[in-house]
Amino acid sequence: MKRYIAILTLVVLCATTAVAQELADSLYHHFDEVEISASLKGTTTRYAPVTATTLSLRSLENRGVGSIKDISTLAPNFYQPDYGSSITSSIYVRGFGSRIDQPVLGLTIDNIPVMNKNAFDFDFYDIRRVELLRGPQGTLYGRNTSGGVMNITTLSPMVWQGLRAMVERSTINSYRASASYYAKPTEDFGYSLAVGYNHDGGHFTNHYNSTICDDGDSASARLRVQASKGFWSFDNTLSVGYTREGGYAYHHIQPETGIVEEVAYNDPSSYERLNISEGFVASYTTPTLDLSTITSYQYLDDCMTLDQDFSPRSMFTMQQMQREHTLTQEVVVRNKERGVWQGITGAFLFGKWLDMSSPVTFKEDGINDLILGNINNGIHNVFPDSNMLFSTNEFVIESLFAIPTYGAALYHQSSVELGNWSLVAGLRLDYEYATMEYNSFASVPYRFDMTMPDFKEFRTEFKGRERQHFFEILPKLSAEYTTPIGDIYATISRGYKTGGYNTQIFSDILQSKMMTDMMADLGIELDSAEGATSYDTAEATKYKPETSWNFEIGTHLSPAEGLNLDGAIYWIECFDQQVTVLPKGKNTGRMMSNAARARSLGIEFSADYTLKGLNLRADYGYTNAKFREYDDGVQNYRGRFLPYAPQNTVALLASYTFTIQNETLKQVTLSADYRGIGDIYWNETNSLKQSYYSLLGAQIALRLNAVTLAVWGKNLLNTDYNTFYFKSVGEEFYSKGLPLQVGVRLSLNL
Amino acid sequence: MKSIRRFIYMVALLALGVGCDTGDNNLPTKPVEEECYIGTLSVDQNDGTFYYQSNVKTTYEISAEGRLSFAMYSVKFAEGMPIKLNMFVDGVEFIEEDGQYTLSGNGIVPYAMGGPFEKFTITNLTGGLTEESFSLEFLCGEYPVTYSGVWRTI
Repeated sequence: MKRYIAILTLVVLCATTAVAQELADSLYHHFDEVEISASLKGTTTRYAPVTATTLSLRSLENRGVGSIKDISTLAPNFYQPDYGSSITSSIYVRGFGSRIDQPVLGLTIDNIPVMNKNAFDFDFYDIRRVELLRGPQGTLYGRNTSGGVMNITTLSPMVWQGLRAMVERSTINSYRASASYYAKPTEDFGYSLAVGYNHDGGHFTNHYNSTICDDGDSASARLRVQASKGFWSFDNTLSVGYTREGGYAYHHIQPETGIVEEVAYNDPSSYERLNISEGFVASYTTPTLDLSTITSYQYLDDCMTLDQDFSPRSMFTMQQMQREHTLTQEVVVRNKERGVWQGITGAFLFGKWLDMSSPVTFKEDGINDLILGNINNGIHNVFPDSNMLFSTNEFVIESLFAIPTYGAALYHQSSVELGNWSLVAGLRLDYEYATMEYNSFASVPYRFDMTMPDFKEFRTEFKGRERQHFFEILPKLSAEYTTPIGDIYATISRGYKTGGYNTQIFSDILQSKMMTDMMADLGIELDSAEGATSYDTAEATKYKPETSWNFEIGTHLSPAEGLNLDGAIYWIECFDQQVTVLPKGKNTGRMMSNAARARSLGIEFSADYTLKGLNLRADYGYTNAKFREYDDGVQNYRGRFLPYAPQNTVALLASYTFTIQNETLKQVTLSADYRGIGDIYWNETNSLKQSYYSLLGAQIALRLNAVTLAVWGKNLLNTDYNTFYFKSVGEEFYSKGLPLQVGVRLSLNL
Repeated sequence: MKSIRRFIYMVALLALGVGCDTGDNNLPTKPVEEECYIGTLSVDQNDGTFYYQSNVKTTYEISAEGRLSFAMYSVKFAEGMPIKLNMFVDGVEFIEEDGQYTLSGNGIVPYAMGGPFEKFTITNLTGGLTEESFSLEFLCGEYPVTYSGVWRTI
């Protein structure tokens, strides 16, 4: 312990030198004041015909942003809730989103597109800039960007050199640490290494065994090497991330009373993920042209283990193990000449090879309730004293998948400056080919006790191959008029979420098939099997792309020094909307279906005022998103609000930095932030909702030259709210938001 | 002609896993797809009413040992019965005369739902079988059952 104190003292002493202060100043000054966009697809200045929110390094650190989820509400109508696990990176933008499968938001990190949303939830450190473009960005970014795209840029050793370190301790028993080193030994060569570790002590107790269920650990490292020679520059980033966590703190809702019970489930639940990303960018830059080639390899290996009934009963458990290799290649050409015309042209190729195993283990209660119960209900009508029996208390439905997906795209976007007018037109052609080979099977010994003296091994399987082609045309048109205090623009664009396969429905299909086949094996047909769902399997296992048109008018204004105002109104028409469908009855799976048409209307407003040490910021988004058509065969939901997306997002920030003329203490920054979210409807009937709720946060940061000590609090009023609602096996559950958290952070910039 | 048809039945039933050994519960699960008798089943409900089921498919087989068996597919014995079952009856006695079979049997335990179905033991079975038609009368448990079908190629 003494050794640690000595090291810490030494670090603080070093950090309080004048040199250290200079370096730290340069870090924030550089990234706050200079408009930097490392995007190879064009700098997004405030005066572009797009609604964008940009968060700088200082802004991210002041607001305690530790992951993409923390950016919720900081950008209007952007919401990534915490559904209890890193795997469920559900994202909602402008009313649209999805609980599973394809996201509405694209993500790039240092120009590398992240191709699997399971890797979206990662620990932030040394993030230099986050740029969130809202509205379809399909023309330049392609698939799964119908809600927008988030471009994340990390610190570069070519622009800043030094040492950074951070340790943080927070409730409950959570801590984070990161360290990074940025060096530029020569003018044309730089490298950096950043590592981070995060331990989450968890907040919710599983009352079945009185243990914390949502604790976890994660670690990551990022090695970046940059070099330049003549017109060429090279940027290589290797990232590795590992996370192992509990989670799934789902509270059962008593059906009769609506009382929300404590978390209690009997089987272990966890999520484990290893992801590796290797990205290489080579750019050839002349005064008139930028040519870039972006190559990436991404590897994701994860395993989700679930007590899928989330109850103390032994119903069934599920594992989902994925191993995915992805290769991407993009070539982008931009002309840089300042003139009437500017253009960007690109081509994109990718291949994804996903192998997945999803064994569902039916346990004693699940066998009796979901399978034998249904069969015996029918049998008992004729033979009240006879039963179908299994010789085992559990059996496994194994489902194996091989899902390769290939895509190719060509795009071009031109902009023309005509006086105060700027006109932009773009078009992208996207092609995708996806196949799925599946093999789902189960084997169980059974007997009908009236006629069969012995158990008989029964095997059922469902195997085959599906293939799909998608071809999408993604145009964009915009016009912008610039005045001395800002601009006004109008944009029409089309985006899409790609199609895919419903791997999560296979256990249901096989469960249903098992009942039918077992009956056939016995030579009987049930007139009706309560709880059994019949599937048109070819249709149930796949879904096609969701497309949307976005019409938007917006403005960016700077009416006074330090004051920036942004506003937009939009109208989105969504076709073939992918909605999550739960099969009727007590079933175990879920699937995506292109069952709906919807529209969304809304407004977004951001104001930012900076005067000396004062910073005031407000972001507000309103969405009115409703079904135009959606009939699930039981009910018509036309006119109902889309579930899961918030109608209002509010973020307010006030911070003031006192500059102190003191040898040691240089600055004191006080900041307070308010976030409001809601209403969020939980179902298509709109009978359940999370009403608008408020979260208060605050931070006080003392800057001692290169060392900053911050004490922060989140959800200071300990607001009780729900982040998620779902049904499983006919039962309803809530996931709760995190309670009051406080922490202390010590960071160093040398 | 008849021997060919018998051969087809035997092959089909074997393919479906039909065994004539009473200890075997690999019972027919599907009707012969292309050729069978199709007719109407009538069950006296013993309360003055009858339950009728049309389009009931049946097949028969004569084993090398000279035993006749027949199978009835997807049959119900009462309106309220929520399941249909395949029933296999083995060990029917028969006399052949000029291509016509006269059937009889008593105390035969049918096979259904994976094994012997003692609750519905067949008694007083009589019937006739030709290339064109198949008729049966028997007591299934306590319920009088009749069946009359004609040869169809589906």
